[in-house]
Amino acid sequence: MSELATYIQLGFRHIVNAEALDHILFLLALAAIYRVRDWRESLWVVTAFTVGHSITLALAATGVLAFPMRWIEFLIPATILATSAENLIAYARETAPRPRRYRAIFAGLFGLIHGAGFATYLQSLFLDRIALPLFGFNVGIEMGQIVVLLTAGAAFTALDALVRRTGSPRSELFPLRLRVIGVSAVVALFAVRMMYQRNPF
Amino acid sequence: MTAGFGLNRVLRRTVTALMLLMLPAWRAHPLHTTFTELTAQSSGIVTITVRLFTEDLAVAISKRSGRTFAGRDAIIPDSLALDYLRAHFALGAHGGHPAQLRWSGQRRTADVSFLTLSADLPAGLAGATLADSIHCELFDDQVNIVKATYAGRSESMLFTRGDPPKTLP
Repeated sequence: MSELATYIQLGFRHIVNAEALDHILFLLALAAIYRVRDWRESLWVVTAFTVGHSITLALAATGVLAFPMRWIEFLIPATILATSAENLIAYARETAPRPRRYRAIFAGLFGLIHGAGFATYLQSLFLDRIALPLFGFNVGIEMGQIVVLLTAGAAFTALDALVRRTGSPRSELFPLRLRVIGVSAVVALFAVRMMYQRNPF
Repeated sequence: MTAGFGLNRVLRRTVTALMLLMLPAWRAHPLHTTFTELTAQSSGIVTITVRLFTEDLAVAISKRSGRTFAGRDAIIPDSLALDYLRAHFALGAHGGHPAQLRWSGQRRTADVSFLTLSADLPAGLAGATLADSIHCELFDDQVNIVKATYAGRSESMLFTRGDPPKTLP
């Protein structure tokens, strides 16, 4: 196996893993509001998140910037909570022609925080030879995110279909509304718990 | 719409109650990995350098030895580190016996320890078998990377919990 392939696997396993709950929850919160027909919008948001965390991952892993991990670990669930809260507060968004485009900006900013979280461990272990591990790890992270998002998309679509089959929907948008509220509320609970556990004060 | 929001309320309250009862203590998302480099010298000696997080090593050694070591500043005695590595890392000659691992020393940076070993492998690393279960007894998501440099080439392997020994090409 090539060395690059091992780092890609390392990144992939880092995300597709029960221990990666914080990252997975953030992806779920991001994806919760989208329907299949919104795929372009969701792609922008995920791309912005990727760009954000790639920037800080590179800056921190190469030692250009040092981030206070105590705060980063606290801020990661804060970004999850903020995303979930935005979902819940603006749950009437489905009446708009398109989901809100500002989410891409938020996703990019929040990605900066998540990238700083990844970087410290990588920088510590591969301090003298960071370029290849950094690149491979990042590619693996992206592949893992795609798998998580595709799985979440399939699960959300199935959930919507299940709700429709109950015969209770009052409108075409009911399953989406129920999903946004349900997923965001659960994810927000996890995030609050994590923030409490990682309290830096 | 009223019935719909009633359903939402029930769903949310049920999930909330379950979560509050069942939530474990999730900590930050650490990278559970080690990185080991093997370099074959023309003399038939293989140098092995294991990079691992000192904090994880301290937990592993404590568990194995029954003594208490903790934190990134833990001072791990060489004998205990060697004993642990012999239990969790193995290098076997092509089709033959496991090589005896000898202690060469340790050094550390802020939170990473570099443990160096050597072993006699006259036939070189081609066809040698490797097993690496370092910290796999601690973490379900442990991923160990091994990079071997020999005969002008470089090969990498990845080990996770339960992996059998692997053979270098």
